[in-house]
Amino acid sequence: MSLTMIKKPETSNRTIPNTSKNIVFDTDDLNLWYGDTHALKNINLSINEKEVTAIIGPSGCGKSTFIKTLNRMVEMVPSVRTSGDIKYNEKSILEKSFRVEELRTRVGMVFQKPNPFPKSIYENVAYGPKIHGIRNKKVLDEIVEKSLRDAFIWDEVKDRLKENAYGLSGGQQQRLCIARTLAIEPDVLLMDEPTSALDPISTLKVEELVQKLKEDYSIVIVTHNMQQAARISDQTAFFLNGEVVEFDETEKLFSNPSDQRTEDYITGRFG
Amino acid sequence: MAVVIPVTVIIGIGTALYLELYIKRGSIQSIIQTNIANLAGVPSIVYGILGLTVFVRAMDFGNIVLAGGLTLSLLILPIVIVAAQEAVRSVPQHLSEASYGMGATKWQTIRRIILPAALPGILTGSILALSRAIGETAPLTVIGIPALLMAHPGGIFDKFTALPMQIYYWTLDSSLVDEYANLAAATIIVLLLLLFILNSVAVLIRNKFQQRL
Ligand SMILES: Nc1ncnc2c1ncn2[C@@H]1O[C@H](COP(=O)(O)OP(=O)(O)OP(=O)(O)O)[C@@H](O)[C@H]1O
Ligand SMILES: [Mg+2]
Repeated sequence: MSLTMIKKPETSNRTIPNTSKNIVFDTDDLNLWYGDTHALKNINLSINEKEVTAIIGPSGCGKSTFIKTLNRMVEMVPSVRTSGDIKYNEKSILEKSFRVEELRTRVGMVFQKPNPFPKSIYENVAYGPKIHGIRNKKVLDEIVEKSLRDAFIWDEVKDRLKENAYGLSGGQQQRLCIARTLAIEPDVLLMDEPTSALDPISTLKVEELVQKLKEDYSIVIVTHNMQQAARISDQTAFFLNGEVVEFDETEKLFSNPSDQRTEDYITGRFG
Repeated sequence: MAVVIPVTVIIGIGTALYLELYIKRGSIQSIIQTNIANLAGVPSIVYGILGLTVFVRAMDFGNIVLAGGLTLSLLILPIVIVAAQEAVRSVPQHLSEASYGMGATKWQTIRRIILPAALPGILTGSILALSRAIGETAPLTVIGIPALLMAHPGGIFDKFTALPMQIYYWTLDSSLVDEYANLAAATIIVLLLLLFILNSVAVLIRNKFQQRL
């Protein structure tokens, strides 16, 4: 059990990669229960600005739960209790006084299954800006075009903006959902297995997109695909049974893991 | 109908949203739920007596359209609520999640995502309930509507009658006046056509929107 608990970055017990980087999210002894199920145990992670942080681990280890606490979506489940602290840009977000709507406009989320609204492509992307009070048609047009371009789907949909989003392929729908999230101009993108429902080519497109987006956004991505984590992330956290077993630079974690269980997992000996 | 539609649709949708999205799961919620289900099965004559007591006597409306409309609203309200609840519940969770995930408030999510997606179901349920109201006579007899040969009611405060009532009395008196038999037959056709149209509209709405989700 010696290496189970990762020390907080301040207690420089491990190499902090890129110390010059700003930290957007910092969790401090975060615990979470669904009723009696202890789903997250003493999580201490810091997520760097404008980097890709990958979360890997076997099914049911708490990956989704973890990223859903970062935008407090996990509160939709009534039985959830948390303890500990999450700081987003130095502010505690778990306090009831912190407005979740505000948090979720700063911290956007892309879900595992593409989930466009049953509306036109245009309306899907314009949804976020509209609920945040933007009415001006010209401004909306610009946001929609920019978001679709940033999500590398503009060329495929520019002639059919008025068509229902359900007519797009799965991969296009997922990029549309990414565009929809970009339209609210967040700082952080949370992605929960965004490519698990996609074919290899669409997956590649989304991965390229993630690489591009990290110039402007901090990205946390959950993935089951180890190669994917190794390809696209700067840091990787390995979760097991609700605990962080190892958290390090991706290169280090995949080439020279310090915990036996990490090694077993990445070499495919379990999970 | 001018009374029944707005009353039931507004109260029905409101109640359904409250029960599905606001109230906490628990004992109170299940008591309300059971009662609504039971109310849907209460014989219509009981609603008639309730309408007579509350609207005609206690509120002193007299036997006018408004009183009859409110009575019929009571009668079909439980059906509309149950249908609307069903429709709201069948809106896929991932749609509301997407909306909340972008910082939408609960109300914005309900108004822009949940209601539009649930609307076809709510409409279908309401229309079917409405067609039941059209055929109802018993509760209206109880609140004492005059039976025969009314002038066409001009507003919600006029006296009125129900189509089935007209048919009944015209048929009864057809031995006295020959034309009454024809009138009765014509009215039956009107009533059936009305029901047929309403039900077809409900089915059409359902089929049109079913493929969408
Ligand atoms: N809504 C819920 N109610 C109760 N328990 C839950 C709920 N959601 C998740 N859990 C439990 O919490 C634990 C972590 O689940 P989570 O969904 O975070 O896993 P995951 O790592 O994302 O798995 P997967 O790779 O399969 O998506 C599991 O044991 C799961 O059973
Ligand atoms: Mg998951």
